[in-house]
Amino acid sequence: MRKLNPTFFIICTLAVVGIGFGVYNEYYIGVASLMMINALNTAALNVLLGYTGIISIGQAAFFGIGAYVAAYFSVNLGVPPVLTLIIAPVVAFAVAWVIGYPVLKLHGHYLAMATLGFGMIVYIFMNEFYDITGGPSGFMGIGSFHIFGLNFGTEKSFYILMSGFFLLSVFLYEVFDKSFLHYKLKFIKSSESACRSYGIDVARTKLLVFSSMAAITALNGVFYTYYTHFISPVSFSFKYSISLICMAIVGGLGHITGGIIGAVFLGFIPEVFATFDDFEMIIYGGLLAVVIMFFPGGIAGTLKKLVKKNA
Amino acid sequence: MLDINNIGVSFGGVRALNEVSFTTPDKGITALIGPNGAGKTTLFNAITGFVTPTDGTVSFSGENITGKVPEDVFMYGISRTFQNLNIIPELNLRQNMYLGFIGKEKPSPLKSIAGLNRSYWKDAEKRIDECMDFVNVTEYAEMTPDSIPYGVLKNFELARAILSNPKMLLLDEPAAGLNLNEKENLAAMVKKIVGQGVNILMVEHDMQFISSLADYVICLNFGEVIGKGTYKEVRENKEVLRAYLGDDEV
Repeated sequence: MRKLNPTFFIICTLAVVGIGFGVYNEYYIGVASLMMINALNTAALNVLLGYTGIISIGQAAFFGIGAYVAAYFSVNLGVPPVLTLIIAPVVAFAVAWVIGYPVLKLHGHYLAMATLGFGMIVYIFMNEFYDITGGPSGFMGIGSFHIFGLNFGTEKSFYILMSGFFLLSVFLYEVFDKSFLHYKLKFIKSSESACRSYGIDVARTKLLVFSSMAAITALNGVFYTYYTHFISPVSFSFKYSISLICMAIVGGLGHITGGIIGAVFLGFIPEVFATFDDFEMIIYGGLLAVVIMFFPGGIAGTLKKLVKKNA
Repeated sequence: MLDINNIGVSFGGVRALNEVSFTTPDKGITALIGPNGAGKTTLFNAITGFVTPTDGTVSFSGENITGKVPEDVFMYGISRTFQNLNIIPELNLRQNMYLGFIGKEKPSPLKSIAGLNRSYWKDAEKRIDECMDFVNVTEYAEMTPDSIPYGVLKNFELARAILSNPKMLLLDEPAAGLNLNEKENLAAMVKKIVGQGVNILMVEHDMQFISSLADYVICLNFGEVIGKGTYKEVRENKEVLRAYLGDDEV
């Protein structure tokens, strides 16, 4: 509908290619891969919270569902990894649809509490159902992602795989941002009553968006599984959901670029302030307070405003 | 056109509407008046599906629309505005207009993502231009709401409401917050819309505004119809005067 703006896509491509060719330290290559996973999860949350006004504190649960479904199917049932890229999102979509149907009738704090509760239930399930999930000790023995004889088991090869998926997603998010769907979701966020009086089926649209974003988050969970080769409930706890919300707000709600910028920005904090590891959440909280008070549009919103002002 | 038959609405123990009945004329403007808390907006909500009536029926052009959800009521050709402006601050007026279009002429999400529905958006843009021009807000089309006068935004809401070619338009306090000039301008726009064959039902408190526009007036008080007829007839109705001025003044 509106013209695509390739600027952000080009910046992401240059960054991804630059890291691919310029960084040799495997640890940092791994950090970049994880940053891309977090960035896509945050972008999905941004579509929920920033565009549609659905506050979800249970995104870690969908991330975990994707990871565990992929691990279970590939290790216990011998399903090829490429098929788990389809199975896990479908499962997450179905779970989100069932959960979302009653839960999305709620708004504001009530919706936040309901999604938090869902996240907690899935977390407990991961801890208690040893036979399926391996319990608190985690799920071990997960192989590498491979397709058509290509194995993506090394840091570099996984980085290449993740980069492809990341850039494709950034492009699709840009297309979404310029399509009528962007407006439709923002209208819903602005006033559900007005949307309904103009013929928009708000409940169905919200359910579709919630389930689709759950599927995308689960897809990232699949990549995470094949990257780490080991998953445990601690990676999918309440803390991860909160981190995603911090990344989305700091980056800029309602801007696709915001989710990605926020994830990259906050992704650097544990690396730069490694000695303050115990205070990570305090740093996140402080940043969140500063952004909410002084830069309500987040990094992306503030940059956009500056560009507009100087144009 | 719109036939309200013994409508009742209860919220728990509170009876908000009780045996409300009237039929709007086939053409023109019907005004719904009454003191605060009379049930005017509740009646609007019952007609447009935001509230399900506990008794009675609502028919539109001969079809029973009682209990239909707002999305379906809109498809019958009933469009409405709200007391508050529903405009997204970060979008310009043209972009805000899309809300009035995408609900009725539903675009295909897949085609949209693939960029294959250019003709759809061409039609949308053409219709949006027509409607904005119709209510004289074209010059503000590319501006965001924060830099546009309130009166223009009220006109914009009319433009958006007629985008879907409704048969009936429900306006909830359209003149609230407007100055005299803006009210005159709005009245001219409303008359222009009626000239296009759109039937209007509006809730309004401004009697001067109503007197200049309404062909038929219905007065509600405590959820019941206490008077109906032409503006002159209702103005002389003792019960209506009592509701507005109190027993001592009548």
